[in-house]
Amino acid sequence: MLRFISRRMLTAVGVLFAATYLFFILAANAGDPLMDLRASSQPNRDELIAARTAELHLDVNPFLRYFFWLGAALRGDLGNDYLTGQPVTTMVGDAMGQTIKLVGFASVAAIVIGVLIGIISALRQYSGFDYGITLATFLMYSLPSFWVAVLLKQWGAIGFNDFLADPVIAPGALILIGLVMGAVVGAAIGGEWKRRLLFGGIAGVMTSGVLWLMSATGWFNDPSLGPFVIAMLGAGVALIVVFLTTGFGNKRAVYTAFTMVLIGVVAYFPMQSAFVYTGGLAALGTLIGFIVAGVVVGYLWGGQDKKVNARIGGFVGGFMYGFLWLDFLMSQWYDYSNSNAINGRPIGTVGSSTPELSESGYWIGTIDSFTHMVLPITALILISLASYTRYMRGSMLEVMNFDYIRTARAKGLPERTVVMRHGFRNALIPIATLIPLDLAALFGGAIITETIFGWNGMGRLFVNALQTVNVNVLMGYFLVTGILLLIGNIIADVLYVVLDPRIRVE
Amino acid sequence: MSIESLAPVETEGLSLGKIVWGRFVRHKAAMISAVVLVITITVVLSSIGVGPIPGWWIWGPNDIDPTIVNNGHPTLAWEGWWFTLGEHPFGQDTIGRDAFARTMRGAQVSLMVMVLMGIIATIVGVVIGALSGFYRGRTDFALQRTTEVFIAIPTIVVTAVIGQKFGTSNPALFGVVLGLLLWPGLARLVRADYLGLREREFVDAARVAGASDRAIMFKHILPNAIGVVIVNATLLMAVATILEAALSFLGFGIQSPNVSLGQLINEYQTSFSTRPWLFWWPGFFIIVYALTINLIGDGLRDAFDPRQQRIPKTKELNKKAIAKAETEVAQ
Amino acid sequence: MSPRASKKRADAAVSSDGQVANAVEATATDVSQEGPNTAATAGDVPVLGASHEVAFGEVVLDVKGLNVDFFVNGAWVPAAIDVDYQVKAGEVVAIVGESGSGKTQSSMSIIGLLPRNGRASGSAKLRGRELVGLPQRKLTSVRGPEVGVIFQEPMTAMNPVLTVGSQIVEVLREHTDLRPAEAKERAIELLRLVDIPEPERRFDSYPHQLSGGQRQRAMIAQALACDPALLFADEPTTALDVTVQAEILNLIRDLKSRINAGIVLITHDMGVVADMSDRIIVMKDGRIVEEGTAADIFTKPQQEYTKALLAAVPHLGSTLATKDSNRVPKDATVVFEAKGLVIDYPKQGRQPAFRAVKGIDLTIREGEIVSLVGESGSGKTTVGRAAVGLLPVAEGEFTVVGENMKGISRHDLAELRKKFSIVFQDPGSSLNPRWPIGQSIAEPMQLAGWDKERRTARVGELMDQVELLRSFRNRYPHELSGGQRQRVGIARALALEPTLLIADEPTSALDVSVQARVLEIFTGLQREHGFGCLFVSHDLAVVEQLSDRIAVMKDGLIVEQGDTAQIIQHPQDPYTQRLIAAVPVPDPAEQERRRAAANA
Repeated sequence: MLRFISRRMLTAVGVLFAATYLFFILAANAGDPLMDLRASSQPNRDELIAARTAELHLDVNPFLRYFFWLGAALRGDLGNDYLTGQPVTTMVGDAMGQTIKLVGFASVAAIVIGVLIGIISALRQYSGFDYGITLATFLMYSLPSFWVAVLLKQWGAIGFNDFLADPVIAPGALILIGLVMGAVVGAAIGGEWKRRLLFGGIAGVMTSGVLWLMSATGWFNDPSLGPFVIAMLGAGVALIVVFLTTGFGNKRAVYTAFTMVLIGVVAYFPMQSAFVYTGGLAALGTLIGFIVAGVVVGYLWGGQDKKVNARIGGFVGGFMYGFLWLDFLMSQWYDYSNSNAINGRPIGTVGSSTPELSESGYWIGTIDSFTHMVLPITALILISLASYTRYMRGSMLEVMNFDYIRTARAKGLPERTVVMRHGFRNALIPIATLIPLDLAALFGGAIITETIFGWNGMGRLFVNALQTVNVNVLMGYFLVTGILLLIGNIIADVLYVVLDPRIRVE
Repeated sequence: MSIESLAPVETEGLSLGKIVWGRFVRHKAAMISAVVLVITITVVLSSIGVGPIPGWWIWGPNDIDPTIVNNGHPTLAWEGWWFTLGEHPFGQDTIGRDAFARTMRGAQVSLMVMVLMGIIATIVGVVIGALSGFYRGRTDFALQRTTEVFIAIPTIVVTAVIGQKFGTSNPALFGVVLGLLLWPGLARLVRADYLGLREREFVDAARVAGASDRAIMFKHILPNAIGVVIVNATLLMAVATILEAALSFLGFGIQSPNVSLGQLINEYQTSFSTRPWLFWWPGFFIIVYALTINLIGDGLRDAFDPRQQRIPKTKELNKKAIAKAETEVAQ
Repeated sequence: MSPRASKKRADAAVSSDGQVANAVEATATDVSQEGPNTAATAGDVPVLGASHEVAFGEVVLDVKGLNVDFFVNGAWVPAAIDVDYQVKAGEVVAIVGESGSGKTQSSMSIIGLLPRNGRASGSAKLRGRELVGLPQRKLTSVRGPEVGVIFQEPMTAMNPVLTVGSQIVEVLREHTDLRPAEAKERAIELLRLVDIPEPERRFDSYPHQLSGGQRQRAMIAQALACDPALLFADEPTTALDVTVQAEILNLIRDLKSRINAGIVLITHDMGVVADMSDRIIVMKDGRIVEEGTAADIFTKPQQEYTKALLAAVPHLGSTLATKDSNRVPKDATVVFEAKGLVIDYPKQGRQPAFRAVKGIDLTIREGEIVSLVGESGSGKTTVGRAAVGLLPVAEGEFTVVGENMKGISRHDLAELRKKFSIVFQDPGSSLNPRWPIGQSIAEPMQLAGWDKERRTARVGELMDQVELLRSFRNRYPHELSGGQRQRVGIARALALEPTLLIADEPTSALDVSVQARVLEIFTGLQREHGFGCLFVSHDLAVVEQLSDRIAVMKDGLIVEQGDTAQIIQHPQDPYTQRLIAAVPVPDPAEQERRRAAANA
């Protein structure tokens, strides 16, 4: 295994050299770094030109100039941005931070949702749901991202901000949304007519009801969850988790899950005061605390499968904390929305945060981050979601046709186990090896989204540098993304070996 | 069911092409897409004409209409069952140029780029993938590494460089360049297919019969891999459409005075609040291209896949059973 | 029997109509509360508890009027029509038929394992409980505890990413109350029961780490885990080597007496049937053609089809009387000569190169058929491939049709190719699916430079010789049956009138009756054209039928070779003897004699 990795890394380094060399030549030829100076009318123009030429070694042929860069890079010095003088390493570092925030969230969401929808779609092949999803994913595939981004800016931001001025949902819209929700759930559930109608109907009515309540109480201006809703949400999560893992036959699992829900609800009141003093680190710590508590509860309820129960407990516990945290975050919304900097138009369209609010503390800061992330992340998700859904669907379909699925059924395993343990686990392998590559590519920056939404991530960095032919910055960017890509490749290969025992070298 | 009992006539067998076509035609979404695409292309090409051949539309993409009709708003409107075109169905821009003509020109250019790119990427991808998958070993290693290098270089840089060196005058060149950059994905898939197919016994049989490597690769294996090639080439073209638009939007692809769909969106993005229609229509055409091609590609994929079997719902089955029983009774 | 399992069993029994006896029995065990581990020793008593509620001889499966249809290309096509039979506990019922006879599908339909486009109607009662029409949710409690299934391909039938042990434990945990540790113990015991060596270690192995035979044993262990009353074995040994097959059959026969379940053995191999079954059901085109005890069917078959089927089965030792060791003159030209031939199999991705053939001596003269017999991994296929130039010679002398094959240049090889050819095993993959068969047959001629007219004429001739209608020349392989495809392969091989023909397991993938036909055509053509033939196979009975001489290979070496009669009747080498002993003979009486002799 070690030999395998080291061999791959060696070839990777070779490829990196070749690629950076090629890239350097291209970048150097992409334009004229002295363009702005040539056009300038400053008196010391010639000196400036000479200075910059010396700094960037412009007198040397690009084929050799590369080695200047290489020499410095190997010493850890990636040069400076000739326009601002900033060291490239800091620039790339900052940009990377922004990009990770954006891309990280979007990818996780896209993967989770995509996998989920893909599985359901595969299990309900050829049904209305499947066709609908297929059409939807194709549509999303075919949308140009910049087009979508501009639209989002228009409706997501301006539209929503307008909506907030008077947060009432028209009854027609209420009913429509309810119907749509009901139809989707009904289609996804599958099975006989009555079951679908029942679940779909419940979903639809609940959706409309909830929205109406929210509308009537002006919830959008001052949102919160409250202990009752948290309890309901927790119960929902508990039910789903138990359903997917052990089934309701396993009483202890049910008890574990609902114990955690109870704990979460009870913790509501003390948490309110605790939250006021919470910062980022404390929040993380408390999350871990809840998860651990869940694991402990799982063990205590014990029974045959301590480990499974512990997992369920931890999972539900984590979610409960999430709901509590969300609730408190929501309670800060009013202050945020009405603060001077925001002034009633919370969804931002430019940049990753509101500068005036940078010192306002953990909660306001988090809300601020969120409101700025919502739109670009939505734009990113829409496109990634489509491909993950298709991949998962395809993989799942292929796996469900394999012989061992038939054997699993022949053993009398319930369909749930057949799908989850035998189908899903195997279908996930190709996807899991795809993810590192995808992520690595995305870290190169979602160029368009960043440009439109004004985020200073890697993509923006790159485009700006290209336009000004800032070779140092370009090389720094390429080096980082190239390395990421190659590492991603290697991780993907390793994952494949880890997940599929057939590939392991004995 | 005994084949031997059929009439001894020189009958034409059902080749793969015919089978695939039959199944493709039954795929509703793909057929509708194909029809829509054909109609769109016809309109796009014929409305303002291509090259020396004139079109049926009055305005050209660079003609300036001194009179601003309707404040530049589109004159496309519903009237009874059909719609009227009016002077400027897609509106006019600030200078007075007809947006419809410009969109059509943009659509033509995008189409050309897409087709050029598709052809070149397919040829390069198939050749490299075939060589890689068939010969394996060192050839494969070298080609794989080359592919990786190509993947590493962002398309945007190369197009920027090309733009600088050769000016932005030639969209055809852009298409060719894109083709030369986007083949790796296809090559990978072709390689995987070849790796599998070369182990099949008919390859051995051909070798024993004395076929050369080239004959085996392209006359034996390729017809078997053609499914993968066609499907992925179409999907690649759909991706290329959007890619071209994105690049032009960022200013690195087609730039004015040339027109492409992406370039148009770039040009008009600032006027989104005042003249949103200038922004809408080019985007709409991009979506039409991408969506129809994607659906066609999916239809092709299903048609090539022998495992697809559509089982109708019980209601349909019962109806069919009754119908069949009735016809039998009637006989 | 653990309380939970017995409760389930009781539920199952009570909810059926009639069968009062079962209900009484069930409540009795419910009350008695037996401990879970009374039967610890793997030797004599089955796994989960002492008593299996099934009495010996009780009817466990009662099938009446079972119909199975499939929805194909817009219409319902019947796969099984009006199937009636019964299975008693402790007996083995063999369902015999060729592909398309409906034997597998009718059995799968009983437990609800049909593919999506299938449907079943009629009645199939498992110990009184109707299974046809039962919704999947209820069927899951039947499969496992009541019915076990052994599938054909153990490699694909087991989940490759889970350990063998965990897959057995899974069944136990699902249907019984056993705790994880107990279930693991039980699983290891099961593995021991099926004679897997080092069961504790094997528990943590993955399927691909086991040999084919061991995998199948693990599958059997899995199927038996919950002590089912009925066992379906779908071609359990078809994918295995002959000697391994013999072992597995022994195992199943052993278990038969121990576990007191009814076994339905689905197979096309009459030898296996003769060895194992008490009763036999013959199916053709979805219908039951004949049914009776093993002795009856084999000695007094009533129906035409049954008679034809039995006649088509190659019977080891039956053709020895007709063998003439002087059929081919001793001074005929030598077309194949190997002395100390060594062949290395090249590196395949991860697998390193290895020495497949370690030094063999073999001679074939024009006009004679020499068979190379061995199991998988013996190197026999490698020899065949080297003879046609698909693999290079590593060491030794190797002369084929007069040319030295060692280090031969591409050009010379191209010339040689007009003098030898090869017929491959799998007709499905040895013809290019995208080429019409006429083109495939014509290819060797086209590469040899013949003009179109001559080619077309010859293709027609060849098709006549292999008894294919000329009108098929424009058809594609997928439109032909397996036997027809293989005949195309033979036609192609004969295109240039070779002096040496390599036949690489040409009939292994074919049904019995089709195989007989193809072999008939093949031997006829060989007599007529007089080419020398290297017939590679693992099937001794087939080999005996057509070869003049036999060479037995094992692990890259020829352990014994000689005239057919001599090898079959007086094998010297112990491996040869084992091989011959392992070949199942389609005659129950003789099988029993052979088994008694082997055990003595």
